[in-house]
Amino acid sequence: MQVFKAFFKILNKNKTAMIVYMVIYLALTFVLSSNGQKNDTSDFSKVCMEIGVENQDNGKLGEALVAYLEKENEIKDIPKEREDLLDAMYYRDIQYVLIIPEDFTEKFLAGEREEVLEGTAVPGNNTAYLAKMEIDEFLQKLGMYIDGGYEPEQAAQKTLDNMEKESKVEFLSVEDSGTKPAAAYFFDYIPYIFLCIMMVSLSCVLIIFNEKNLDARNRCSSMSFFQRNLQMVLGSLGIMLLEYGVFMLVAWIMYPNYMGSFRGILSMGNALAFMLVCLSIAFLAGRQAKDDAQLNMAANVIGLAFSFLGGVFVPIDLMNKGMQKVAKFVPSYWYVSSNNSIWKIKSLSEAGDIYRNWLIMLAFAIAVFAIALMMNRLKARKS
Amino acid sequence: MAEKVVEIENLVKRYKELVALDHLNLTVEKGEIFGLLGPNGSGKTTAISCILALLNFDKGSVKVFGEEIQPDSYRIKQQIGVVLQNVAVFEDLTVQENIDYFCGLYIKDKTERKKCVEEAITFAGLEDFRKFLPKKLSGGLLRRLNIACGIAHKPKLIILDEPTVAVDPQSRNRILEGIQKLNREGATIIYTSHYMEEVEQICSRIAILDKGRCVASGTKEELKAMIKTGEKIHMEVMELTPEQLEEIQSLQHVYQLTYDKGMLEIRCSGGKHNLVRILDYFQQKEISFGRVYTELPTLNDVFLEITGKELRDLAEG
Repeated sequence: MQVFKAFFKILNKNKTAMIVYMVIYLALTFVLSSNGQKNDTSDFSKVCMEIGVENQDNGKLGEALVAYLEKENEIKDIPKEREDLLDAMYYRDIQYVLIIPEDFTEKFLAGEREEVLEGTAVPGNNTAYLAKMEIDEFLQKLGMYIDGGYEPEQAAQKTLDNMEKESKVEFLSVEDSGTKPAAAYFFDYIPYIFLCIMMVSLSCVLIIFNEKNLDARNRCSSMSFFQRNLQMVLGSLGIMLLEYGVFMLVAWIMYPNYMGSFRGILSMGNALAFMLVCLSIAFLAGRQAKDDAQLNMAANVIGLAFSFLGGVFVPIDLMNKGMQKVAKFVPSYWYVSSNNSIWKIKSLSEAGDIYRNWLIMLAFAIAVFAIALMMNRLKARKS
Repeated sequence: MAEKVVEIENLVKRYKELVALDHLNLTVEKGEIFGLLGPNGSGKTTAISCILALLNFDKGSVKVFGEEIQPDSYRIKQQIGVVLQNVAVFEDLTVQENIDYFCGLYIKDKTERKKCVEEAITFAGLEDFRKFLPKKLSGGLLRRLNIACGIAHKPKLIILDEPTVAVDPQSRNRILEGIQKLNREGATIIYTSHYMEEVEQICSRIAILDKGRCVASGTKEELKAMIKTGEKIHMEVMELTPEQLEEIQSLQHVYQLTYDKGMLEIRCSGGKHNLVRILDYFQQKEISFGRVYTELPTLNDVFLEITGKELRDLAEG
C-alpha cells in the first residue's frame, strides 16, 4: 500500500491549509448561527427616539401630543443656547426637535392644520423621520375626531386610545424567520468549504503524483497499473471520508440534539452527497491542473461560481428567473435546495425531494468522474 | 557467450515527422557498464524510454532479460532499477520516506525493505540526511537520493540517465564509485552521460548514438582505434614561417596541424616514433622550442570525430 500511504503522508505535510480553512469556517459558522438565533419574531419592537420638545401651547391638544410621544420615546428639554442644541443633535442626544407654538390648539381647532408645528430632524437620520411620521399620524387622527364633533379633551383622549392599538406584525417569508436551527447554519456554507478543502488536499496530492517525472518513475516500477490506480482511488476516498468525518464530528459536538434527530441524519446525508461531487471535481482538477497556481485558480473560480450560482451565499429566491434556471445545472443548487427543506419537514416521509436531490448530485459526481477518466485517456494517448 | 541483458533490434521511433530512433541496434551483456553517448537529441533518452516501456515504438523489438518488454511486464520491471535524467522524488517526503516509497514499489516485505532502505542510504552517503526534505538537500545530495531511490531494491539491471548533471566533483566521484561498486556486486549498468571522462572512466563498452542511429560501439580502445587521430603533439614555438608549417604538415603520419599564439598542435594518424620525427625536424632547422607534450586520443576526440557535434551545433545555433 505504498501509494496509499504516500497519499496520507503528503496530505499530512499539507494539513496547515486545511486546518486554516476549517477554523475560519467554524468561526464564521459560529458567528452566523449566533446572529441568526437573535433574529426572532419576538424581537420586533418600535424604535425609541430621543425627541426634544418645547410645548408653548396653552391648550389641551399640545399636552395630548406630548403625552403620546412620551409613551414610546424619550422626551428631552431643548437646550436654551443654539450651540448647545446643535451639539446635542450632532451627538444624537436629540434626534428630533419639536416646538409646539402657543396658539397650536386654537389654530388646529380653527382648521389650520398645515405646518402648524415646527419640527427639525437630524439630517440623514432615518429614525428621526419616524418621529415626524408618528406626529403626522397623531394629528391626522386628532383632526378626524375633532371634525367628527368631539370636544378637544375628548378628541385628544380618543386619539391617544386609538394610537395605543398595535398592529400585529407577521413575516410573510417563513425562510427569513428565526425558526431556523443553529445547526442549519453549520450546513449552509458547506458546499464552498468542502470544495475548497478537497481542492487544497486531494487535488494537491494528485497533482504531485501526476508530475511528469514522478509519473514516469512510477510507471517504470513493478507495481501494476491497476494496483497503483486502486490505491489512488482508495487514497482519494480516504481523504474524502477523513475530511467529511472531521466536519460531522464537529457538528455532533456542537449540535448533539440536532445531529441525533432525523434532520441531522438528513443533513449528514446531504453533506455526503455533495462531498462526492467535491471528490469528483477535485479528482478532475488534480488530474488536469499542471501546477498549484492553476489549481488555486480553479478552486477559486469553481468554488465561488458554485456558491454564488447555487445559492450558497445569495438566496436563490433573490435571483432572477433566468439565473434560477442556470443554477439548476450547478450541484450546489441541489444541496442548498435540500438543506433548506431539511429543517422544514416534520418527518422522513416528507423527504422525497431531498432524496431526489441526492441522486441528482450523485449523477453529477459520476458525470465529472467520467469526464476526468476520458480526459486522462486522451492525455495518455497524446503523450 | 555472455548472457544478453538488453537486445534492441531495428528499433524505430517517430515523433510525427521527426525520426528519434532510426533502426537502432544495441546489445548489452550481463555484467557490463554500458555507456550510451550522443549529442543532444541523438535519441539516448528515447532509447531508454523504450527499454523501460515508457514509450510505444513504431518498429523493431526490445528484449530485456530475453523477453519482449511491454508496459505490463512487471516481472521484468522487478529486476530493473531506474535513475531518470530529472530527479523524481516527492518534495513532501523525507529522504528516508522517499527511498522507502520507491523501494516499496518492488519489495512488499517490511523487514526486507527496511534492510534495503538502510543499505541504500549508506550506499548514497545519506545517513546524516535521512530526515531531510529534498528541498533542503544540495544538488549533489539530491542526485544521490535519486540514485538511492532507483537502486534500493537491488535490481539486476540499472539504467542511469545522466545521473551526474549539475553535481559537484566530490559527489560525482562518489556516484561513479558507487556505480562501479554496484557493477562489482553483479548489476549490469546502462549509463548515459555528456561527460566523456566519466564514460571513459567507468564504462566497459560504449555506443555512440547520432540522429537515432548507433554510429559506433565497442570498448574505448576499439573506439579510439576507429578514428584517424592516433596521437596529439603540442609544442611551444615562438615563431614559425608558412614554409616551415608546410614542411611539418608533409612529415609522415601528420595529417593536421594548427598554430596559434605560439602553440603548435600536431595530429598524427597512428604510426610509431612521431614525436622523434618531429623533434628531428626542429633540430635540423634549428628552430628553438619550449615545452613539449603528447596526448593519446580521448573519447572526446572519438565523439567529436564521429558525430561532428561541434560543427553541427554551430550550424544549428
